[in-house]
Amino acid sequence: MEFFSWLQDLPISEWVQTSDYGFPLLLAAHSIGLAGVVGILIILNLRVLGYAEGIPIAALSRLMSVAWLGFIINALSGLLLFMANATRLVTNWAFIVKMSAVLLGGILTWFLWRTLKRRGEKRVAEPSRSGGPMTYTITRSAQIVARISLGVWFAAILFGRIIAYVMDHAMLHGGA
Amino acid sequence: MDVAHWFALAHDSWLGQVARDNPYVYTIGLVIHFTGLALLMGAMMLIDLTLIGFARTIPPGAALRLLPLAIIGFTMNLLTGIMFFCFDPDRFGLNPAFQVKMVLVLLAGANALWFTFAEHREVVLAPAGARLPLKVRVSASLSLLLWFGVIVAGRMIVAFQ
Repeated sequence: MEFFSWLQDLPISEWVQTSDYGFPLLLAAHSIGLAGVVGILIILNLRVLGYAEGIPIAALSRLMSVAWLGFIINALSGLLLFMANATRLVTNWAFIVKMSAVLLGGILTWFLWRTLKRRGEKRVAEPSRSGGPMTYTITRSAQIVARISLGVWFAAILFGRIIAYVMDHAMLHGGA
Repeated sequence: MDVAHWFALAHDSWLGQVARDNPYVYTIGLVIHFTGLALLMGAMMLIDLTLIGFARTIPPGAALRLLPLAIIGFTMNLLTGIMFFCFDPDRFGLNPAFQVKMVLVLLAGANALWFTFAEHREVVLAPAGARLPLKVRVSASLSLLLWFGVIVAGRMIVAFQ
């Protein structure tokens, strides 16, 4: 716990707590990152489930850079938001559930790509970056992972919203 | 009739009363609002990046098949947004960040309508990797900027309270 109080007392944490625009700007960045990560991953998972089949999986593989950019924005803005309230967040159950959902979502996305890239019977030839043929196979297990993944990212948004209410019941409708 | 009259009407509406009487309605509304944001932005990023020329292997017609998804996301946010407004019309209506957000939503909507009526029919037939007309690429870039601007302005509402 001492470590978390130390984090919270760092000058940058205090700036986030006391400045007028610190929190709103970090939350704006966090929402932009959310759009990047969850936005792209929703499309990827829906594509695996059979929606918009004209979009090549290889193209979505390249758009993962946008998802990664969003993730980096959220890791950084999230770290600062955490530091500003470290002692309260570390015991906040909604925060812990959200972090678990993000971790699980990341693992599922990694696993989904692994499954898609594995060779199988029903495959679509897609050009790879190296020029050779890169094949992606949408298997039954890939579709199950995509379904779970959609639910997990929704859970990340849901429990992210609940964090503020657990932190301070009095600030219901507080906006943070 | 002035603005205050309309605000009072929104405040006293059934939606406003439900939102104020049950604290969970507002919270659930926010969860839906952020899910709608992810849906709308996911679809718009894919469409706009394709039209700009960032994703050369996606046929524009295939990207534009995601439009219904964007419309679903937008509708989720429009409906929950109306509910937030009715919860406390003065808090939102008089807030400069909210006013900017609404202007940006209108601009983004006008831009999308222009594209739909002026360009959609031809762009949908273009092959993957085709260099689209400058006005289409400008419109797609504007779309991304405006929608991200909507997010930032929305998050700034609390800073102006």
